[in-house]
Amino acid sequence: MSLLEIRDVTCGYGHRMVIDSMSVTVDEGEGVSLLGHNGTGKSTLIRAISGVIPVKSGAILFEGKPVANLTPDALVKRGIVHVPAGRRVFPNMSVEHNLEAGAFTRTDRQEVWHDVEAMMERFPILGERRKSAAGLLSGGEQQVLAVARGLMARPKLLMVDEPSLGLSPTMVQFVFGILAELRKDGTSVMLAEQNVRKALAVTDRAYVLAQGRVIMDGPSESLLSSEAFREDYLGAKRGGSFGELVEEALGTQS
Amino acid sequence: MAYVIEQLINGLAVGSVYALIAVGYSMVYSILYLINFAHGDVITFGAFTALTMLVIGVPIPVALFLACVLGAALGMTVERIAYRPVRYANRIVPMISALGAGLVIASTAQAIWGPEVHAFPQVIPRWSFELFGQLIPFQPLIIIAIAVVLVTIATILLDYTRLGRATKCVCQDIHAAQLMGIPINTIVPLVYAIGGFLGVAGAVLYVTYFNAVYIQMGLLATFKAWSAAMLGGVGNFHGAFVGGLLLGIAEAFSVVVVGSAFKDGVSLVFIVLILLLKPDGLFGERTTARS
Ligand SMILES: Nc1ncnc2c1ncn2[C@@H]1O[C@H](COP(=O)(O)OP(=O)(O)O)[C@@H](O)[C@H]1O
Ligand SMILES: [Mg+2]
Repeated sequence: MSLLEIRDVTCGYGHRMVIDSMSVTVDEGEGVSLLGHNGTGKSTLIRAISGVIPVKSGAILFEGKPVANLTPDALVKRGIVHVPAGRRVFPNMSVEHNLEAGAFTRTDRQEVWHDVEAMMERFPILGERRKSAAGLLSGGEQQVLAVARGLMARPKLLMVDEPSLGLSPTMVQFVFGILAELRKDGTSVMLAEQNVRKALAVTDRAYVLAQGRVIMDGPSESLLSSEAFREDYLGAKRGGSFGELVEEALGTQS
Repeated sequence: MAYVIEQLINGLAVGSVYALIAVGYSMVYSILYLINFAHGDVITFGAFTALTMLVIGVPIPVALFLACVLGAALGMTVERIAYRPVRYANRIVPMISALGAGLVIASTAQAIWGPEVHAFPQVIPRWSFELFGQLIPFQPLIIIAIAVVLVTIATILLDYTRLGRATKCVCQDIHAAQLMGIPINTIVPLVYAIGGFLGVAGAVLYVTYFNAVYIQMGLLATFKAWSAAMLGGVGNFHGAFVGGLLLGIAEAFSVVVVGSAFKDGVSLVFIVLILLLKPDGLFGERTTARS
């Protein structure tokens, strides 16, 4: 049984459907990428899963139970957490209160502050700036904060939308290093990205979206060896083996 | 000197009233990026209700408290009926529906209490006392004290309770707050309730100070409070408070300089100046992200 199973889901905005009868699964402990150019519906699918926009038809099962069209707070309580594109940290709140906000649905208040401390240790760039307003952090620091804030809910599935958006190459490297660590710890991740190389390096499988449909999917390695995929999404000249790509994406240390 | 101190106290009193009313505008604005056009009518309705309760003999503190609670309930009703159904529509739509809600409330008030100006009972006595040879009026001091206490309580609730901090999240980014699992359909009405409660408190103090309550006062209060909110930085709870105080003092001293006929224009001058020179307000805390 998959952790998340999206079955023939159609959804969009108002009367305009963006996602057309799409099926996607994420297994327990698995990392799955949603790839595709700008405007193909990656964010829209994630918004439907997190309950921000309604599902028009089809089913979403989480741990085998139907969860389509539940409210966002009910979904967070069940363990589905959405780290939005553009980071969306609370700008006038301190780093630590941003983290606390991520744990809003938890009832173990004592444990929450324990977890805040754990995040500060795990991500020292946050620990150093725990009292500063989140709006004063750099884009990369904000992205780390956004991911950490998501983790504060103790998600079973973390959905991260475009973490590389607007970040400097060094910061992209840093943020993907964190995602790779999360994956090693066994966190189930759904990652929407336009940065195909980086995304494939930290996930086991990928779906390629175009105009609201899945046009290709499979294990990251086999996508990389597919001629069509390389031409359309990596640029034919580049490419290389999967191992090389992981090394390039995460730097030599990994 | 004596005159200056008296004007300062009066200015602070009127200013703290503006501040109480401004909080409602400021908080709602920070969520929706819209002026809550029904706010002025909600607080007018609250002031009239207080008047009626006082006339029929309800004890003063009870009457004032109930009027504030009514303000909170009216604020929540406006949110439910005029704002929520159109929350994600084009900006112009909630603006018009709020204007409509305000019109309904104002017309209802006029149907009940009539268009004329009513005197308002002196719920705070107009004594004065002498301090260092200076005659100090008692009523403005009490008005300032009530405003400070109410804003302090609201600040503590917002800063130190879980729901209060969730409210701050919603004010800063309603979409992100929703993704944290914060139930926005509980928090947003709460914001309107806080605004309605404090706003009616401000309105009752306002009509006490000026000893008059009438239907159109909502509009005037709206100008003043909006100007105060902008002065302090819209969306900034404490900014709205300080902005209110500054506006009150400026008005009090403008009476000295340009005469009382132009007093009400001061807030409009402030609005123009702030928009031109510092659109985020004096204490605008709009921290922009670097990347
Ligand atoms: N809030 C919205 N309202 C209406 N249409 C939207 C909204 N957000 C995105 N869209 C449209 O949905 C389509 C898919 O967008 P999106 O899911 O953001 O793509 P991606 O995340 O893959 O770049 C685009 O055509 C976009 O214009
Ligand atoms: Mg997107």
